[in-house]
Amino acid sequence: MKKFLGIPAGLGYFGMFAAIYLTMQWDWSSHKSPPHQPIAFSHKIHATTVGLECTFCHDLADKSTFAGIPPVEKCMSCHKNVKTESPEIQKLAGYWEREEPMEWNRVHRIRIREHVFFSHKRHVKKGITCQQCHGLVQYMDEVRRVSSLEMGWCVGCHQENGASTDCLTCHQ
Amino acid sequence: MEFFNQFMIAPDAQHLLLLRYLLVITLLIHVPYMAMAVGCTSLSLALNLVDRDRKVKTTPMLGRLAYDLMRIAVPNRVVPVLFGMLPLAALWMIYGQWLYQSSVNTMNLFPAGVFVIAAGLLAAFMYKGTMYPGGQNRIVNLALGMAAVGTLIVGTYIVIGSVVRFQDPERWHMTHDPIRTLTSFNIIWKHLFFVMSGFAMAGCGILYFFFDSSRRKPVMDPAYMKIAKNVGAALAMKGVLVLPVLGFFYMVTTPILAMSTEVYSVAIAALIVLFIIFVLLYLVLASPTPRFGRLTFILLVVVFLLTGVWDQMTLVNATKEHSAMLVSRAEAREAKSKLEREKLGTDALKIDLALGENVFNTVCSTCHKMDERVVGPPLNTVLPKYAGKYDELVSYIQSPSKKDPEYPPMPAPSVNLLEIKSVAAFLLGQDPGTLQGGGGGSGH
Repeated sequence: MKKFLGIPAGLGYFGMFAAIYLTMQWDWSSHKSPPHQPIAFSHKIHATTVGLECTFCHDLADKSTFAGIPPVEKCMSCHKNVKTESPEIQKLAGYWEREEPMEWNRVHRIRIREHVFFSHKRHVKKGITCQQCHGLVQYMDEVRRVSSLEMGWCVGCHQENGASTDCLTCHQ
Repeated sequence: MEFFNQFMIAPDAQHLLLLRYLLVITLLIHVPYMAMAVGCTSLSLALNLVDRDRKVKTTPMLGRLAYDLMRIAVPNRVVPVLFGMLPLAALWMIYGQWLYQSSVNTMNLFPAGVFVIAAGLLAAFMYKGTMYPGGQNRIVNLALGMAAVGTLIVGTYIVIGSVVRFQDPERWHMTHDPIRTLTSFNIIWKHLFFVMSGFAMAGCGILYFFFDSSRRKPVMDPAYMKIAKNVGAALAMKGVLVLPVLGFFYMVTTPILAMSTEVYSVAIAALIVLFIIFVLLYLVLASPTPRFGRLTFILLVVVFLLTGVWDQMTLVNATKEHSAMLVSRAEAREAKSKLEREKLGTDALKIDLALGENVFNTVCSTCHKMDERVVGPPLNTVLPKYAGKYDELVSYIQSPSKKDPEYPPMPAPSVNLLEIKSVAAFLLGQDPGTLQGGGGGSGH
């Protein structure tokens, strides 16, 4: 029977890879998949169907380092009247009545330990569209991160557009 | 991509769904054959090289196996065209439709790869022609064999690289330098995976095409049969054992947004099929007679089917927003042509003030009140601008645009032309009698 020892060895080998693949699946669904949000807000409805400009809600994008997330008040300026029968809008109205901020889950984040200074204003003023970094958000129901925001990706775009690639341009 | 777009038509939702199935079918026809052609040609060249270096040619076995391998890779003129070139042209069309009007930078590299592959297949065919059946007294053109293997490897690398780039929208617009574009670990692992699956396919091809009981068997002497069986099974075994490793590295380097839970499940299913092939090959190697030729061959094609499904799913994930954009544009075109068709039948419309009032109360009043700012402006401030301009109001409601920066833009309401005309008549206090029959008329 010695000559059949290879089969259990093969089972171990392929089993090990099955375990690795399963771990990768678990890692993706728990750490790398797009975050779920407190309400089922759809960028597609607001930016494509209704046709709102990005800066209608993210009004700091061309004025500040951060683009900003609109306060519940901004949502309610329309949704006091629009779609009030929808359960998701009722959740929103709940936050408004309780005077609670919406706890959105962050989609894009530059890791702080790399001491990166990034300014939205500078990029918007230069004419970089929101989509060039954030992807086609106006067609997303649930927002996911399209660009890695890793250094190689930033540098690639800086080189293509003739922007400075000096370390101190971004790292301070 | 701009050049390419003019040959394509703008796809809609059903069209995109059809493309998904077409992609898997075309990949299933093309990739197993192409992988086998690369694997068989490389192995044939290797055997001829080994044979050449032997000082004493006691048996013509290796040369004969080298020839028989090329008979699997390019059996005649039809097979390379049918399984190699035609599906490649179809793939180019499928990807071109799928990524219509995207900024993807490798659509133009794809045909360059196809030409290199065509040259490679032609060289392989000519290389086969330099070998005599039986492997005796032959003058094998090794340079031609090396050219065939080289061009096939380069051509498949360019095509695979172009396709792998499709699933990385982050870098679509980044660079147009082909060398930089095709330098990526993701592409290298995928291409290695392809080549290794080609060796597995060549090994299983030997077991199937030489020994399967349902096929007409050539007369073989036992010594040749033993060599062919052992070479085939050992080669297939090496391929099958290395594929999980390459699959792991390929998955690690694939962009996160191309992945999903289901994609990993497909990879695990492929792993299970590979294990079954491993067991069968192990039994073949342990026994003196060749067996399971057809079964291992079919199971390996199943692995190719699963990798095809994998490629299709990652592309669906990566191009989710781009496809949503194409669908949304198709819907806008459809809505526009519907409105134009309605306009043609305007004469038959009976404008109805009661209907207009009903539409105002159920649709418009969400955002508009007469004397109060809601989402949109109070109507008693904007309606005076439309006094006597009934047609202008109708066309504004049909396709609203942003007028006052104080307010959000008005979305196009989901109402038909009769409802729009009725609500405009209701708002302007028009007498429907003056509006009927004349295609809307001016109201005066």
